[in-house]
Amino acid sequence: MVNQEKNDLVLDVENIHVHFNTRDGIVRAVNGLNLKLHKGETVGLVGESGCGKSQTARAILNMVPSPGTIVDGTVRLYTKESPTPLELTAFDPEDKTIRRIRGKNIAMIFQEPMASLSPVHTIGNQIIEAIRLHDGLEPAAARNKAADLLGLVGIPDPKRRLDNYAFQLSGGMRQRAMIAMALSCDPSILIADEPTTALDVTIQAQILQLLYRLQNELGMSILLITHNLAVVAATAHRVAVMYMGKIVEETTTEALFDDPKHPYTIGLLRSVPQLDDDDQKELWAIKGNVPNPYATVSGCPFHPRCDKFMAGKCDVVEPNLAEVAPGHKVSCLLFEESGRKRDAAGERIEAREGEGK
Amino acid sequence: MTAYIVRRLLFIIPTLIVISIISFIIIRLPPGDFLTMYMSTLMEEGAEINHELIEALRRQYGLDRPAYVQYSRWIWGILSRGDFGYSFEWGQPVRALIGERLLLTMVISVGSLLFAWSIALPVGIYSAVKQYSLPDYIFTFLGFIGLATPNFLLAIIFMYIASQYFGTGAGGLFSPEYADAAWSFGKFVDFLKHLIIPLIIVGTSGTASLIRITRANLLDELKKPYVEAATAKGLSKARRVLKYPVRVALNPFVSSIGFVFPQIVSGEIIVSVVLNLPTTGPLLLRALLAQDMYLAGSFVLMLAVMTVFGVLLSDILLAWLDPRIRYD
Repeated sequence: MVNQEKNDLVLDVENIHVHFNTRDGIVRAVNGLNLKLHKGETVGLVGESGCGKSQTARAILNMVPSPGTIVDGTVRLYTKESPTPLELTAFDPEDKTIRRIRGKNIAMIFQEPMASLSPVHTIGNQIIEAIRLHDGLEPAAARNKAADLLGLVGIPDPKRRLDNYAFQLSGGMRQRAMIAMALSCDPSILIADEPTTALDVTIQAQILQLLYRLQNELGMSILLITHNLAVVAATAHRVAVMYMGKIVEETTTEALFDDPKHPYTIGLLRSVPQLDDDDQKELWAIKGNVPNPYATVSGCPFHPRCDKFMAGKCDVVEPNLAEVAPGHKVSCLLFEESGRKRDAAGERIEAREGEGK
Repeated sequence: MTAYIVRRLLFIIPTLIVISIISFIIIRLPPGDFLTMYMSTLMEEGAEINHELIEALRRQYGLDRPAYVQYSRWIWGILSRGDFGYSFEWGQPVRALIGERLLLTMVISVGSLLFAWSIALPVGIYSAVKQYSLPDYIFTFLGFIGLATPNFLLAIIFMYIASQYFGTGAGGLFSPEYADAAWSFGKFVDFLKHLIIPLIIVGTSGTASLIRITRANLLDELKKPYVEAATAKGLSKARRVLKYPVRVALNPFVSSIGFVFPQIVSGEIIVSVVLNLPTTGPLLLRALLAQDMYLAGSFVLMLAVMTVFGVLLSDILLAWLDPRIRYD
């Protein structure tokens, strides 16, 4: 299957499962997720809080926080240096190889730049640390490179800013510094976990523009994790919509906004308030709440909230992510009506889930 | 940074003035003075009391003057001549009595603090990183025992063990042959040997509370996003823990100089009485009992001053450690 893909594949996440063993039960944060990332592409991973987007990002870097573990699935990283992909999930989280991947091949930026930067180290110190860790540059050379990076992300007077602490910078500048740190070793993949959530709207636009420009200049692939559909519309080439640890719809950004298929996606798009809406119109919301994380929902995970619920079907049969139009995958029984056969991977998932029960 | 230190130094002046006044008030709080104590002792012994002599003494020492005059004279003597007054009971200037004892007290206090730090930091880090592991439970258990056991009880237990199983006394800071000898290398080594037990005893409760503080702080810091960011950067576990969260968790550790120090100094008094150490503790206790006011007052003053400078030291260290304080 991998061979049939275009050869510019850089990251292949296959059937990844992340479980958190807590005292109250198992939380299935990521529940059989598949995702591919190509060279120079931005993929938006969208979903409500707690749907498993951030844990997906951590699973890619094999750094799921305790008590979480990757119980199944593989993450493959394709690099220029090696003809065969590197299986990131095969390593111990503290293994040297995976530590060299982190920050060098795959870098990550986080939601809150203030909390993600050390309060007691200068930003220069933290950027230089990343450069020296992977490139082995001399301190002076690393410092010059760090200043260049700050310049690249649009921080004025970069040499002087290197000696600033996070609390001396504005929110936007902090996130720029975080991005500079992530770019320090020319990563081929940048994972941006809600990079604009903690920022003002005007600053959000600036940061997104910055990411867009950097992608064009450096040719990296971006996995943009967000709950904000506007952010996705502005930046992503493809979008994957996540619900309860699974991808329910995946397609190009245009197709998603023009022709959403999954009832959840349709609900999400309808809940975005429009400026030209009638003042009297009530804000539309998807009914119900995100289910209790400990619960396992039979059949389609969205069926309790779905307005196209088909009794005796959606609560029994688990849908598979299947292509319904070229490049448009949906996981919904409405589209399996056409008698499409389940693929082998789907059957595997079903079989294992059957054993688990 | 310089401005911060200068400001802190200036704040010390009013603090010291208030402390000296309070020390003086405390010393004068009990009814009567040294001479009334002296008279009652004489009466108990059945000796004749020469009231004229007592009155003469009272005038000579200025005890008949109002309190503020006594205070001003005392402070003026300290500031102008380094004269801390006269000990009635010992018939000697206070300065001669305090000198070496104060030094020993400081050695024990600072030594205990260093002892507490050197144990508490690694144990605290270990306990936090390996939370709920068996060693963590053991350290927690020992820590609570250390916190709950009064120092004097520990001292008694140590003395018992030392004499019962090792045939040596745990008391004192010098062996008899060195007690009155001048300082020499032999005496120094002997002193170090005797120092260990008091250091452990005085440092135990401080160690226990510092372990708890370090563990709790580090547990908070380990969950902060900047640790995750350091992981995503590719740092090894040891490096990312030691460089970031430990560094931040060090703040309360350093500020502990301020509050552990007085705790250690007062703990030292009791332990010194039990272990018969020639430090300030036992002398202060006797001076208080005998209402030997200038001796007791000078002690209280010196200990308070030491605490104030301990806090100053911790504040300066904190500002050096934490830019958020330095740039405030």
